[in-house]
Amino acid sequence: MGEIFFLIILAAAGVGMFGMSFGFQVSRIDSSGGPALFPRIVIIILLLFIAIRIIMVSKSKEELGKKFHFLEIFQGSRLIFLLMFLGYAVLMKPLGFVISSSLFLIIAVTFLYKKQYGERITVKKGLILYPVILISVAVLYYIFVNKLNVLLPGGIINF
Amino acid sequence: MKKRFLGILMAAVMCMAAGCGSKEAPAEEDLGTQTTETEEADAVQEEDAAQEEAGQEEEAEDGQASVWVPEKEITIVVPYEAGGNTDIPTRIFAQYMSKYSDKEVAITNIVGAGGRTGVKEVMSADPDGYTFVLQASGFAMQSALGVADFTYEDLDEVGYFLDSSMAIVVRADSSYETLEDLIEAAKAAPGNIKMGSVSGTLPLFGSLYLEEKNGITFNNVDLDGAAKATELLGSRIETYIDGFGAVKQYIDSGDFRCLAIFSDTAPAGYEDIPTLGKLGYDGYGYLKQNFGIWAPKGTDPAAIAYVNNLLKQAAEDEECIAALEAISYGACYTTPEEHTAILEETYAAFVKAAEMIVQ
Amino acid sequence: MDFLNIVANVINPQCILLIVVGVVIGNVFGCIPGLNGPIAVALVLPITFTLDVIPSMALIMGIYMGSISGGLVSAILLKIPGTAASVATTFDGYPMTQKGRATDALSYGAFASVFGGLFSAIVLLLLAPVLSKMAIGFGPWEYFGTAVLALSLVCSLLSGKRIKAFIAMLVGLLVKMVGMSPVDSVAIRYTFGNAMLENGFDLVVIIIGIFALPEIIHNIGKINEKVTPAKIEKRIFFIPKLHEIKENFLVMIQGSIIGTVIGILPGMGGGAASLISYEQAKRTSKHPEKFGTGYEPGIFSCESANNATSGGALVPMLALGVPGDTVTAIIMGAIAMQGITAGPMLSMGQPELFKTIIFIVFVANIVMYLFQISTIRFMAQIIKVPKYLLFPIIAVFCAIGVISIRNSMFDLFSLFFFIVIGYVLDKNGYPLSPFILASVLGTSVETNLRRSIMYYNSFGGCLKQISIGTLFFALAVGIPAILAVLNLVRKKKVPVEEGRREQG
Repeated sequence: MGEIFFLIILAAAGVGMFGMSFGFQVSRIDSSGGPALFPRIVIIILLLFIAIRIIMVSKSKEELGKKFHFLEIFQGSRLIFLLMFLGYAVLMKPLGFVISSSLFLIIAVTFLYKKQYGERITVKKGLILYPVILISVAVLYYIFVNKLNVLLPGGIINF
Repeated sequence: MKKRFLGILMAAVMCMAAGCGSKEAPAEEDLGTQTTETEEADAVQEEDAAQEEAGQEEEAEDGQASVWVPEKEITIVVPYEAGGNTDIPTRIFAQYMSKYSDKEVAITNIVGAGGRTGVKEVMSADPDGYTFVLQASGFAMQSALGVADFTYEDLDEVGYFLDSSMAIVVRADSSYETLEDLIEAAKAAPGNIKMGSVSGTLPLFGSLYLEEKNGITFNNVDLDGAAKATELLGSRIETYIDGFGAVKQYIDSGDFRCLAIFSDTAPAGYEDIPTLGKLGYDGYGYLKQNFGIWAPKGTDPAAIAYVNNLLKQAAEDEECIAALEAISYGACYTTPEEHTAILEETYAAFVKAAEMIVQ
Repeated sequence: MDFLNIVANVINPQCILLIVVGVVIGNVFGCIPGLNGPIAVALVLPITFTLDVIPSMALIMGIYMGSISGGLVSAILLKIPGTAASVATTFDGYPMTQKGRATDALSYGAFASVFGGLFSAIVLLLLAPVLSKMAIGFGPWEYFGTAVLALSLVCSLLSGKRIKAFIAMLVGLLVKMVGMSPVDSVAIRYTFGNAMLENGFDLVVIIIGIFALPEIIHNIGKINEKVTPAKIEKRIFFIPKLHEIKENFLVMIQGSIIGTVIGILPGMGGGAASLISYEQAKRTSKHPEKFGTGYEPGIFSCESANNATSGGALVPMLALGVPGDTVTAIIMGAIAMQGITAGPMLSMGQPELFKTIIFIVFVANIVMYLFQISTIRFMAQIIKVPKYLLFPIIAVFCAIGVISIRNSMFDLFSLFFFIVIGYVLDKNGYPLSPFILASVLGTSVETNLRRSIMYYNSFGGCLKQISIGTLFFALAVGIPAILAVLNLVRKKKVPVEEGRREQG
């Protein structure tokens, strides 16, 4: 059932995008069929295939009973990791690459260590690991920004 | 010289290998001159800039109130890909600017949105006299088409330094011997001659210009920016317009014939090619592929004067002229005021021309 | 005598050193997701100013060859393809790593890479003038036909889940439509007023979001499962065994030909070449069911193909002045800075320089191979890093890779959109390779369709053309149609069995 639901959402998005294609700005000298042509072709073919797939699924008992994988990325440690990564992305600009990456790495490593071994990270390990993380991130930033000319957000610290 | 660079390279490689492979700190050697310094002095500069902004107009009227000398690398942002048609001549020119400057003039590429990403980045940068952006003819067009939401008024002009003309070419074995032949053919069969250009670029306006002046219509087809010549070599189109530098080698190799150059004077060595001026056309001034430098709004006029002076010296450098000529670009020089005046005209001309495109 | 000159041009300390340096830089850039060949070449561009033509070519070609092969390391060991070209390598490379055969997989990949690279360099040397004619013969309609056929083939070859493959492919095309419309450059589509979307989604963002991050997130759910650590042999050079090479020889030849041909066509690139070669090897194999489970020919087919595109891409660049991909476009710029214009004048006017460049490509491939096989055992250490450290570190590198494209935080957020798409498609049996291929070719399909309509006035006008484009388009529509009919006929005969196959 889950897959049919997914396909219906996809079809609805397709129909919505089809509708939006009527609002595209058109160039007067464009004789290529216009910007709406290709989206419409693709959406029509997509709807056709979705229809076929829905019929296929609804005819097969086995397919209907199959679990649709979606919600489990938003569960348990996966959700926590996603949220950590989201926080990382949000803080990247204001805090800068070095601080946000160090924070993300330290929190994620501590969290995943507990998940992997079932016990908290020891003080001794942490004392070695955290400074190494901080230094590596700083070195990484230095190399990327100053040696490779790759722009990374500086945020609070600039060097 | 070469040995020194190899040394630098090796150091760079070791440094990178160390940084990527293990957690060891890299050797912090000075890796030479090509790297961009970060904005250490920014905080200080920012305050200065704010103060200067207040006193700016006064200074401008006085002429050079203070002599500005850079304390660190000057960066010109090229808003197009490294190694591209715009990037190469700019890099060559920047090398000669460095020659006359107290500090290095470096090129950084910030690519995206037809060059607008780079310009916007510079618009929001500190007007501290260390950040500039390349101004290409495309921005006037994008503004006229309503794609770019900034005009020349949102930045400060520093001056033009490069120009090149467009050329219209056909296959060497084509029956169109002159531009007149092509126009006659287009008159006889409106909308049938396949004229190639890349949509949203200057050559398209070149085609529209010819259409308007002669009351003809071409079948304007869109070409791939990187593979224009193959379309004509493969005889899928009759003619196309592109920068002279880009088509020169096909003229040399005897594959193409150039019908006209969108300019008053033909490039050196190609004097037998007719120019639009000689053919009696007028009002094509805005169809020039020229490059200038923009500074963020509010940059110290003294800093602009300094960079403008670099442009002047480089544009008069014999070696620089020769290096640019090798790739069919001409060095040129204008004052910031002339730059502004030319842009004003160009923007107006494009607004008019764009009415033909957008509904 | 001519040949001796060419060898002397390249085989000297300075040139060899530059090639080695280039290969190392390129390899590092290829390994790290988000960094890639074009970035590396652009970075050394200022340095080439100070060098002569041949040394600067040595450096750049070294980087080019190194970066193309570097991608296989992270693809095999971590299931993170840095570029579209190494997407297919993950299909069998990563399962091999999971089975404890990481070093084997790397040695196969390295061997197939040098095989493809040398193959296409030889082709380039012998056939450049002839092959460049092929590029001239290809106009928009031919490109459209080829791209559509590539998409249709990759979906059709995925027997058992064709419908799902087509749905994934079409969704990929839709995603690629976001942003400024090509050809007219006026309409802005599906951006919902967000200026950051005007340029569309970058391919690197799509690949990292679809492949790398969902894989990490999926594995985090089962991080506490015990895995036996893989043994890493302590050999100095990792070379595949002779019988392995023999068994996969035809697969590599096939991959190299596909790669070279696709490389010649501008805009297709390594991603299309390796995916098509992979599916082709699977189709012609006696054991198609083994593909995707860590089967050797899977690696041999795609790695030979993506490296062969390098030689292919140089053909139109050197012979016509038309670059076949991003790196060759930059290389053309670098040559231009030396005052030489790549194009007909180069191969005709300076045949020695032309051949020297090809010889550099040859040497660079060999250097790249020696470098790779001798570093395999160090590279393979990556998998020994405990997961609690590895996953967050990969996530940070993914973030760097995404930001480095255009310094946009928005790209970072759009990753989440692709994580969900990638996860939902993959875990529910919708194959990802058609989705990726669609995002590689999407713009090209649309652009060339619309250009063809401009050329021939209508779509009907295009179909009337007697050209390879028309033939390819017919095949692209015909093959799935025939397969569908066959399926329906068979279904009526053995409904139960077919129903089970469709589950796949």
